[in-house]
Amino acid sequence: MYGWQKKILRVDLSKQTASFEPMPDEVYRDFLGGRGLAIKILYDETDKDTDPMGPDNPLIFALGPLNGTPFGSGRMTVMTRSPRNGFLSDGNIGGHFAPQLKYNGVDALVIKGISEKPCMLVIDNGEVSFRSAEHLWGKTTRETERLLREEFDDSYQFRYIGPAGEHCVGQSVIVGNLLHTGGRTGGGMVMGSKRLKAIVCRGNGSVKVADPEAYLKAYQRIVFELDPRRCTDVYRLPYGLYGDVSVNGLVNEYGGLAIENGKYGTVGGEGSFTAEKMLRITKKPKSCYGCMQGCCINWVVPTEGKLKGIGTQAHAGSLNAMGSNLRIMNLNQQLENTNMCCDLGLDTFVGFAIAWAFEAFDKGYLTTKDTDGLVLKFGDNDAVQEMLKNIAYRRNWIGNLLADGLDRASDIVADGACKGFALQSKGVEYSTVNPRVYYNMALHYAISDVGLNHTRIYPPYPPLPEAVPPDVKLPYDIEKAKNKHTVDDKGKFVRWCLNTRAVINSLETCAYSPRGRLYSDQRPYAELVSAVTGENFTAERLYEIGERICQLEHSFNVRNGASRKDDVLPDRWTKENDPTSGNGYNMVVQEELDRMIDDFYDVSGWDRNGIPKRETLERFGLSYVADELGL
Amino acid sequence: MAKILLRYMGRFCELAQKPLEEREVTCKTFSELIDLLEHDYPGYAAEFYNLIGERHECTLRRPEVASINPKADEPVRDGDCYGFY
Repeated sequence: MYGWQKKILRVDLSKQTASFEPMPDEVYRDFLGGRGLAIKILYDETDKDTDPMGPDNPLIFALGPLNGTPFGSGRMTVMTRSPRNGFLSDGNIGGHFAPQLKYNGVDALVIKGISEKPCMLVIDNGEVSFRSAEHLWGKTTRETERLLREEFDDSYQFRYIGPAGEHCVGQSVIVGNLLHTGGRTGGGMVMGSKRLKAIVCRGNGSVKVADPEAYLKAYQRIVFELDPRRCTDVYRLPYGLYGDVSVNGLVNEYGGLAIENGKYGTVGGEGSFTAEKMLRITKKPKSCYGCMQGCCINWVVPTEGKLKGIGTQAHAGSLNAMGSNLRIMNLNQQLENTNMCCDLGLDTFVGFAIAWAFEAFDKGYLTTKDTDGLVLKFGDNDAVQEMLKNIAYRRNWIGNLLADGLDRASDIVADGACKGFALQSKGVEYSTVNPRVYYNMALHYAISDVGLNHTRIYPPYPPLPEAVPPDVKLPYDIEKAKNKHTVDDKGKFVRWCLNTRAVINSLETCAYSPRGRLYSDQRPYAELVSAVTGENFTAERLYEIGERICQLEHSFNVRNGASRKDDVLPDRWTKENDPTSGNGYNMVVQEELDRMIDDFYDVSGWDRNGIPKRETLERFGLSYVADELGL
Repeated sequence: MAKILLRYMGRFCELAQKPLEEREVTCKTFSELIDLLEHDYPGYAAEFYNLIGERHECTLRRPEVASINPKADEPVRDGDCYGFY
């Protein structure tokens, strides 16, 4: 058995039982692992009546064939049915936990049931035990990490929730290694509903590689492609040097930032070039296991404020959401806010819920009667931090309301009068990358199965023509697809992006790994996974698996009631002009969005209501899904 | 004379030793602007025009256009804002 462990670990928190179960070979052949394995389990083990907050909703942590090998594979999928909208909740968490779980001889951890009292799950070299977590309940994630580290030695890895998860806040996340987070679309909320405060894991096993020589050859090919001296990706070197925050300045130039609840896309002054300020305080990358780039999150030590001399993470979208989006332009304050999110176990994109409340307050739809006397004003950092606590602890009316999600809050306040500037779709808040600038992203945000989550197609533009090997044929026209402001080929491009990203997420390697030629050419990944597993994978086969995964994920949503009515964007993007950024119209034109959605449905093999056609599902071996959907 | 704003990001910030500057320039085209920056910050042109010529990026913002990537013969105009990444 190579690459995969071909077993999953099932845990029932209600009964405090655990069992290792074999997983059939065909699941791996058809779904690869990681995200693919997770959706296969989730689809098969739930139905439309499964209560997302109930004991039968599985919380799935899934691993891919590359996890535990030297190639950058510290990622893992966390998937469940989301209580936020009843649809798919899918996240991807980095750090060092995933290999430890795989070394326990499993490809997935499937958690059901609800613990009577706060508990922690300990997985130690194939032995599973349950411990009380009452001493951790109520603690911030940083305190939890410290207390767990005192209880367990350095050979263990942890995943935990903060106060937000404990209070089943919609925007809560699962955290590990202090700053790696995932599960913003409902994973943190479900973990809290199960009263599972932490998972502790250590494994002394291994992952067997079928052909070590071929593995090293494929590995070296990827290292070669990612070498900053020759990589054609404009972001490769700056990310490696300064982390992904280096992109904020450029995005600001394109008008792609979110300023003041996404009203504007560009800002002058200090808020616009955080990367340069960041240079002075960046200490080192906080990479995942086996990372060969070190480009995502950097550890920074602020020069003033509460975090002076302590340090925290720096991440591009987070600083935008918790910074200039709220008119907080001071870098140290931006870092304080993102750090507070991590401590509370909150997603940093909760900044869009807070910014919405600020705008509603500014327009008179909310008053101090609704906020316990707190004045909500853009630029007031004390108010921002107070709101973070209100939401994480569901402390008062406004905190409780926003903790249920921006969709519900905007329905209730002023009878929906503020809905147009609530930056959410399918109940999930915006995660930056301005759709008014990038039409690819506008389409993706509209049709996304997990709400406004940019990570499934980022970057939102095609590769450079010279970064496409001559023998690779892409299913779209690069010149048309790279034009940020027209509708042509956007459907084809987004379909291609979703399929190829599903492969990366199912191998469980980093979304930043497909840079330069690797973005358009998945043959090196096929060689790598073939060498690891001993199965013959080609780029074409991987692409087909990627689309099968996407089709099953979408079918999961369709089974739970999704259709074209859900594929919408907020009025802010489709009706309001942004004078500082955007395309020719400075907004997403609804008629053009409709055309892109039609094109996307056509290329996906769905009808114009967004429902997969029977022949499409049959083409991917999903006849049983077509039967269940009554197609 | 054109009054322009230059933003330096990534490695260009290290080369220029500043994140941005406002300048009055006499150059007529974008390629002349690169020559000027090479004169002031040795190594700048080599960094921008690398072997493949596409690894780095410059954005140009003008009131009438949101943002474009300027070509070598793009005229430099008063009020232009260039961002190098």
